[in-house]
Amino acid sequence: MRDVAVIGIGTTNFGLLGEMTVEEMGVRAFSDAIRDAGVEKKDIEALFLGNFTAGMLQGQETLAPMIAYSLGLRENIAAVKVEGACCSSSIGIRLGYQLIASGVHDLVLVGGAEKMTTASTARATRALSAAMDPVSESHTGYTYPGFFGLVANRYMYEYGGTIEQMGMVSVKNHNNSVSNPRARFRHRITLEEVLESRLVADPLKLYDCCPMADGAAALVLCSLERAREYSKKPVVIAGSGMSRGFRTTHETINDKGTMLSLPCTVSAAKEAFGMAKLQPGDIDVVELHDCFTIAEIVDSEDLGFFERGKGGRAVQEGLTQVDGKTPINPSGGLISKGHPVGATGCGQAYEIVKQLRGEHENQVRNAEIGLTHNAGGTGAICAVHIFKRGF
Amino acid sequence: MSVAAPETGLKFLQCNGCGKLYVPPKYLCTQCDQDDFSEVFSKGAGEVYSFTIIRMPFEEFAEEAPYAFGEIKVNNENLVVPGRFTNEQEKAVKIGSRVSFVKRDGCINWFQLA
Repeated sequence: MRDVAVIGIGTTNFGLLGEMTVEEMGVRAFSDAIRDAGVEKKDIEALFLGNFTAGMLQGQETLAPMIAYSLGLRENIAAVKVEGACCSSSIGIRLGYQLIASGVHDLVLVGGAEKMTTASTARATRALSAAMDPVSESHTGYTYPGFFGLVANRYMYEYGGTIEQMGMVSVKNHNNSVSNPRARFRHRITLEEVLESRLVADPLKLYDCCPMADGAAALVLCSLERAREYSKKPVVIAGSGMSRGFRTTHETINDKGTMLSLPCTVSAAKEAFGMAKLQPGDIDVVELHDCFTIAEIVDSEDLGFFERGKGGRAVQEGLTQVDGKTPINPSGGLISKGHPVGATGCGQAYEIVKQLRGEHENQVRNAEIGLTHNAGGTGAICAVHIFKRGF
Repeated sequence: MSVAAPETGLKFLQCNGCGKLYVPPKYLCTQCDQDDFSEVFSKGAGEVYSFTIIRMPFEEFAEEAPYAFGEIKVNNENLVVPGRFTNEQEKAVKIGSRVSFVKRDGCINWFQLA
């Protein structure tokens, strides 16, 4: 197996891009990444595009080959859409990594694009629920905020976690994105504002939930042996973990005896850390899947950064701040940078690569090793990637 | 299990190969690899494992909101199933609340707070 590096990154802003089609967002992010890498378009051998809702919200499919055409990539290319709900574009990172590591290809484009904000909240919520089992979940009135509302209530019941600790995640992530020009939200909020915002799925309030967003992000992956021809600052993929979890909330509880852990996160993290020969304590900066404030807390425990039931207290003690022991979501995360679902995984990788290059607007000091965690469905799918400096 | 009549019971699927009990749908028994199941019905007495109040549902459920949604631990079968509540009142549902099964309507398991 060969080492694989990220040699180029590109993105649109995450937020309200209603005037652009989803294809245009993708084209802009991919071409930005190609320019950043300095590669010739004719040398790109495959393209993976993460997208979840374009078929439902815009009636748009076959996006990957259309984007490949619009970019002017060569004709003999596999341009493939990958879908795993909110984890979609991380699937592309994984597949691109494998194609290069195995020696099949040298240069692969991976990215994601999503257009959500021109749909009503009710319609977009319905589209997102396509990631659920209809028979036992989505056709019963269950929603994703509902899922994490259940987790939050159980977390408070079992561990004595508090709604204030969850609110502090939102305050931290909003503070973090003030300096991030790619973020949907650029303003600070107070804990009182979080606690006084309207209820969405009890006990979770509006500011406990990530916003819908439009946006696209892309990476150019390259074999490390050729990466130095293009980049002075290649970032190596040291570990790639990917997993299937459970179909539904109740199957998770029935098989694992708890809903205070996403088993797909635990198994993807185990694979990624094993491949990288690293421990959670080695990670300098983390971008994880904070679709809801309680998700950040549970994820931080599942990834091994904190003991079970201690993730809430870690937030309260400031351990996850940008200058803390384990900086989590210095980009603002899904909660404040925004969550254009199919683009989120590559957006996280974009932020981590900037951190490891030392070029981030909210820089973690001396960040050499970073981790991304991206999950989809009701804990159905997860990808964890560990990145380290290749320079 | 606490057997009930098909018209009034909470439906589970039982593998005809190894006897393992599942919450439907289930297409293949992951314990013994058989795809042959029997429908079995329980009285469905249980308690609330966790709950939330859904206030922003998608279109089809908009007129019902806000409504409580829970994961119910069914005692005799020792399995958790998703469910809603026929007689919910504001703040009436708690973790540990005793419930009984009322009916299945479409995909929804309706429970009643004891």
